[in-house]
Amino acid sequence: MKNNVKIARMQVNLTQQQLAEKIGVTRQTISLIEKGKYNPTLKLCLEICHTVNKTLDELFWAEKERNE
Amino acid sequence: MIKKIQDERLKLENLKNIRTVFAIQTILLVSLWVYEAFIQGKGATGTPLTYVVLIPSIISALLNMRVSVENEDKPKSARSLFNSLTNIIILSIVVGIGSTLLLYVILGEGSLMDSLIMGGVFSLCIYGAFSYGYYVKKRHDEEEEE
Repeated sequence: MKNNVKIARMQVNLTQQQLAEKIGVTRQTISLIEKGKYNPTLKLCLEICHTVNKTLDELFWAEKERNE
Repeated sequence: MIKKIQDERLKLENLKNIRTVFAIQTILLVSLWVYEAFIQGKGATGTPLTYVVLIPSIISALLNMRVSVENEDKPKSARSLFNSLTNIIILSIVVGIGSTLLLYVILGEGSLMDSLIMGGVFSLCIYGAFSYGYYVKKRHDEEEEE
Protein backbone atom coordinates (compact mmCIF):
# COMPACT_ATOMS: atom_id res chain seq x y z
CA MET A 1 0.00 0.00 0.00
CA LYS A 2 1.45 3.32 -1.04
CA ASN A 3 1.83 6.00 1.63
CA ASN A 4 3.64 9.24 2.43
CA VAL A 5 5.39 8.19 5.61
CA LYS A 6 8.87 8.57 4.14
CA ILE A 7 8.28 12.14 2.92
CA ALA A 8 6.68 13.18 6.21
CA ARG A 9 9.53 11.63 8.19
CA MET A 10 12.12 13.52 6.15
CA GLN A 11 10.22 16.77 6.59
CA VAL A 12 10.66 16.54 10.36
CA ASN A 13 14.30 15.39 9.99
CA LEU A 14 13.99 11.98 11.56
CA THR A 15 15.80 8.83 10.53
CA GLN A 16 13.95 5.53 10.41
CA GLN A 17 15.74 4.53 13.62
CA GLN A 18 14.73 7.72 15.45
CA LEU A 19 11.11 7.45 14.37
CA ALA A 20 11.04 3.79 15.37
CA GLU A 21 12.43 4.56 18.81
CA LYS A 22 9.90 7.32 19.39
CA ILE A 23 7.00 5.03 18.56
CA GLY A 24 8.43 1.93 20.19
CA VAL A 25 8.75 -0.37 17.19
CA THR A 26 11.77 -1.71 15.31
CA ARG A 27 13.45 0.08 12.41
CA GLN A 28 12.56 -2.78 10.10
CA THR A 29 8.87 -2.20 10.72
CA ILE A 30 9.16 1.46 9.71
CA SER A 31 11.10 0.44 6.63
CA LEU A 32 8.45 -2.11 5.62
CA ILE A 33 5.64 0.40 6.18
CA GLU A 34 7.41 2.96 3.98
CA LYS A 35 7.85 0.38 1.26
CA GLY A 36 4.21 -0.58 1.60
CA LYS A 37 5.04 -4.15 2.46
CA TYR A 38 3.54 -4.17 5.92
CA ASN A 39 -0.01 -3.14 6.72
CA PRO A 40 0.15 -1.38 10.11
CA THR A 41 -2.72 -1.32 12.60
CA LEU A 42 -4.71 1.85 12.99
CA LYS A 43 -3.09 2.35 16.40
CA LEU A 44 0.39 2.35 14.89
CA CYS A 45 -0.72 4.62 12.03
CA LEU A 46 -2.01 7.16 14.56
CA GLU A 47 1.24 7.02 16.51
CA ILE A 48 3.22 7.72 13.34
CA CYS A 49 0.88 10.61 12.52
CA HIS A 50 1.31 12.16 15.97
CA THR A 51 5.08 11.83 15.80
CA VAL A 52 5.45 13.50 12.40
CA ASN A 53 2.62 16.01 13.01
CA LYS A 54 0.44 14.95 10.11
CA THR A 55 -3.08 13.66 9.82
CA LEU A 56 -4.04 10.14 8.83
CA ASP A 57 -5.35 11.58 5.60
CA GLU A 58 -2.06 13.14 4.62
CA LEU A 59 -0.05 10.02 5.37
CA PHE A 60 -2.20 7.13 4.34
CA TRP A 61 -5.03 8.30 2.12
CA ALA A 62 -5.12 6.61 -1.27
CA GLU A 63 -7.69 7.06 -4.00
CA LYS A 64 -9.78 4.01 -4.69
CA GLU A 65 -8.41 2.07 -7.62
CA ARG A 66 -10.76 2.08 -10.56
CA ASN A 67 -11.35 -1.11 -12.47
CA GLU A 68 -11.40 0.27 -15.96
CA MET B 1 17.31 -10.06 30.32
CA ILE B 2 15.15 -10.56 27.27
CA LYS B 3 13.30 -7.42 26.26
CA LYS B 4 9.53 -7.73 25.94
CA ILE B 5 8.41 -7.45 22.33
CA GLN B 6 6.60 -4.14 21.75
CA ASP B 7 6.54 -4.18 17.97
CA GLU B 8 3.15 -5.27 16.62
CA ARG B 9 4.70 -6.75 13.48
CA LEU B 10 7.02 -8.95 15.54
CA LYS B 11 4.17 -9.99 17.83
CA LEU B 12 2.29 -11.14 14.75
CA GLU B 13 5.37 -12.94 13.47
CA ASN B 14 5.67 -14.64 16.84
CA LEU B 15 2.06 -15.85 16.65
CA LYS B 16 2.68 -17.26 13.19
CA ASN B 17 5.74 -19.10 14.54
CA ILE B 18 3.67 -20.54 17.37
CA ARG B 19 1.15 -21.74 14.80
CA THR B 20 3.87 -23.55 12.85
CA VAL B 21 5.26 -25.13 16.00
CA PHE B 22 1.75 -26.18 17.02
CA ALA B 23 1.14 -27.85 13.67
CA ILE B 24 4.42 -29.79 13.83
CA GLN B 25 3.82 -30.73 17.44
CA THR B 26 0.34 -32.00 16.64
CA ILE B 27 1.54 -34.09 13.70
CA LEU B 28 4.29 -35.66 15.84
CA LEU B 29 1.92 -36.24 18.72
CA VAL B 30 -0.73 -37.91 16.61
CA SER B 31 1.81 -40.14 14.85
CA LEU B 32 3.35 -41.14 18.18
CA TRP B 33 -0.13 -41.86 19.52
CA VAL B 34 -1.02 -43.99 16.49
CA TYR B 35 2.29 -45.84 16.89
CA GLU B 36 1.83 -46.55 20.61
CA ALA B 37 -1.87 -47.32 20.51
CA PHE B 38 -2.19 -49.34 17.32
CA ILE B 39 1.22 -50.53 16.11
CA GLN B 40 2.62 -51.41 19.53
CA GLY B 41 -0.85 -52.67 20.35
CA LYS B 42 -1.39 -50.88 23.66
CA GLY B 43 -4.88 -49.84 22.59
CA ALA B 44 -6.38 -46.37 22.77
CA THR B 45 -6.91 -46.54 26.53
CA GLY B 46 -3.49 -48.04 27.20
CA THR B 47 -1.54 -44.86 26.66
CA PRO B 48 -1.87 -41.43 28.29
CA LEU B 49 -1.15 -39.89 24.89
CA THR B 50 -4.85 -40.47 24.11
CA TYR B 51 -5.76 -37.72 26.54
CA VAL B 52 -3.06 -35.44 25.21
CA VAL B 53 -4.62 -35.81 21.74
CA LEU B 54 -8.25 -35.87 22.85
CA ILE B 55 -8.47 -32.93 25.25
CA PRO B 56 -6.88 -30.30 22.97
CA SER B 57 -9.07 -31.44 20.06
CA ILE B 58 -12.20 -31.01 22.19
CA ILE B 59 -11.03 -27.59 23.34
CA SER B 60 -10.20 -26.61 19.78
CA ALA B 61 -13.68 -27.68 18.61
CA LEU B 62 -15.33 -25.64 21.36
CA LEU B 63 -13.21 -22.55 20.67
CA ASN B 64 -13.86 -22.88 16.94
CA MET B 65 -17.59 -22.66 17.56
CA ARG B 66 -17.22 -18.94 18.25
CA VAL B 67 -15.53 -18.49 14.89
CA SER B 68 -17.96 -20.59 12.88
CA VAL B 69 -21.01 -18.89 14.42
CA GLU B 70 -19.75 -15.52 13.23
CA ASN B 71 -18.89 -16.93 9.86
CA GLU B 72 -22.36 -18.30 9.14
CA ASP B 73 -24.68 -15.52 8.12
CA LYS B 74 -28.01 -17.26 8.24
CA PRO B 75 -31.03 -15.45 9.66
CA LYS B 76 -32.11 -16.75 13.05
CA SER B 77 -35.19 -18.57 11.76
CA ALA B 78 -33.18 -20.53 9.19
CA ARG B 79 -30.99 -22.09 11.86
CA SER B 80 -31.48 -25.65 12.98
CA LEU B 81 -33.85 -27.00 15.56
CA PHE B 82 -31.32 -26.59 18.32
CA ASN B 83 -32.22 -22.98 18.68
CA SER B 84 -34.07 -23.29 21.95
CA LEU B 85 -33.06 -24.74 25.28
CA THR B 86 -36.23 -26.87 25.47
CA ASN B 87 -35.34 -28.62 22.21
CA ILE B 88 -31.83 -29.28 23.47
CA ILE B 89 -33.13 -30.75 26.75
CA ILE B 90 -35.62 -32.96 24.83
CA LEU B 91 -32.87 -34.11 22.48
CA SER B 92 -30.49 -34.99 25.30
CA ILE B 93 -33.21 -36.92 27.16
CA VAL B 94 -34.17 -38.81 23.98
CA VAL B 95 -30.52 -39.68 23.28
CA GLY B 96 -30.06 -40.72 26.92
CA ILE B 97 -33.07 -43.04 26.89
CA GLY B 98 -32.22 -44.38 23.43
CA SER B 99 -28.63 -45.20 24.30
CA THR B 100 -29.68 -46.76 27.62
CA LEU B 101 -32.10 -49.08 25.81
CA LEU B 102 -29.57 -49.89 23.10
CA LEU B 103 -26.84 -50.67 25.62
CA TYR B 104 -29.23 -52.76 27.69
CA VAL B 105 -30.02 -54.82 24.60
CA ILE B 106 -26.37 -55.14 23.59
CA LEU B 107 -24.95 -55.88 27.07
CA GLY B 108 -27.75 -58.25 28.02
CA GLU B 109 -29.60 -59.03 31.24
CA GLY B 110 -28.39 -57.77 34.60
CA SER B 111 -26.66 -54.71 33.23
CA LEU B 112 -29.41 -52.17 33.81
CA MET B 113 -27.30 -50.04 36.15
CA ASP B 114 -24.36 -49.87 33.72
CA SER B 115 -26.64 -48.99 30.82
CA LEU B 116 -28.37 -46.30 32.90
CA ILE B 117 -25.06 -44.73 33.90
CA MET B 118 -23.76 -44.73 30.33
CA GLY B 119 -27.04 -43.39 28.97
CA GLY B 120 -26.88 -40.63 31.58
CA VAL B 121 -23.34 -39.75 30.56
CA PHE B 122 -24.34 -39.60 26.87
CA SER B 123 -27.29 -37.40 27.69
CA LEU B 124 -25.14 -35.03 29.80
CA CYS B 125 -22.52 -34.80 27.04
CA ILE B 126 -25.11 -33.96 24.40
CA TYR B 127 -26.72 -31.42 26.72
CA GLY B 128 -23.36 -29.83 27.54
CA ALA B 129 -22.15 -29.54 23.96
CA PHE B 130 -25.41 -28.29 22.43
CA SER B 131 -26.20 -25.82 25.20
CA TYR B 132 -22.72 -24.34 24.85
CA GLY B 133 -23.41 -23.95 21.13
CA TYR B 134 -26.76 -22.37 21.95
CA TYR B 135 -25.13 -19.97 24.42
CA VAL B 136 -22.50 -18.92 21.86
CA LYS B 137 -25.14 -18.31 19.17
CA LYS B 138 -27.35 -16.38 21.56
CA ARG B 139 -24.53 -14.13 22.69
CA HIS B 140 -23.59 -13.57 19.05
CA ASP B 141 -27.18 -12.57 18.19
CA GLU B 142 -27.34 -10.19 21.15
CA GLU B 143 -24.09 -8.54 20.12
CA GLU B 144 -25.47 -8.11 16.61
CA GLU B 145 -28.56 -6.32 17.86
CA GLU B 146 -26.76 -3.81 20.07
